[in-house]
Amino acid sequence: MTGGNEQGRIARERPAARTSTGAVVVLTAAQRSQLVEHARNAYPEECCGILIGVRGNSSVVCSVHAARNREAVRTRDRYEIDPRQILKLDHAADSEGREIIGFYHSHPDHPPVPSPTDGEFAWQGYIYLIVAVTEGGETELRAWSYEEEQRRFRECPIELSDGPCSTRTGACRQSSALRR
Amino acid sequence: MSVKVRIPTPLQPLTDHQPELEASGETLREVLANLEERYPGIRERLYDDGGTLRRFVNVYVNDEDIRFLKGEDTALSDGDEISIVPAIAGGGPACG
Repeated sequence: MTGGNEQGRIARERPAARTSTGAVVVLTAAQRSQLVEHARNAYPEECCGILIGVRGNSSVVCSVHAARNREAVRTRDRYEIDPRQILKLDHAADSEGREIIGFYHSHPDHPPVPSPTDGEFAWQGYIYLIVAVTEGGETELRAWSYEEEQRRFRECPIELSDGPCSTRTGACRQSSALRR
Repeated sequence: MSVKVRIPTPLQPLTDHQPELEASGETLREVLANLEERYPGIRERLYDDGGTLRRFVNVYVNDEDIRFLKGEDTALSDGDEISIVPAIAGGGPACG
């Protein structure tokens, strides 16, 4: 990977569609950069990782953890996170009063929209961040949650907010209340 | 025999949103049956129609995958910790 042009270095988040009513996902600019850089560095292979945070009216990301892609063969269009890593992070998060709120993965040369394979493995209750990445280093980040009954994904708006996780949780709850 | 069971986020709506429960049973099978008695619906999420644990569900006893123990017949000791871990996988459209 040779790195992208200047425009490509800027991560673009598309505002969620007006019809979206999925929970707001709050993350810092640094966390967004971490996801995006992971996707670029892994290109043309998929990357994946785990999101630790807190859930209230919004899903607030407190930390982002890169995971090893356990998929051994189709590394360009498949990922699988080692459940042992999930287990380990679950324990660590629990001891800090946090929890696993979701996961992320990249779609090399494809839009950040859930694929049929993503749907096959999706669980209601988690946030799924997808980073589209191209050879030139252009990226796009979108967030999704899964509705089991309807068997469909719903897009979640992404909010960027800096500061410690605990502060952002409060701010986020307040802003969600104002939005009603 | 009393054991702790870690419940992942997607199953917590079935357990009154509790992430951790106490359950009883001599084997993993008995513990999962005990959970179903108290929290109906959990079995359907863990087992397929043929009564086998779903392949999208991983179960650990004290950090050991039950596939490398005796599966559902794994014997438990007082204080053991059981973790239910959803398989997390997917990927982009096929590259062709």
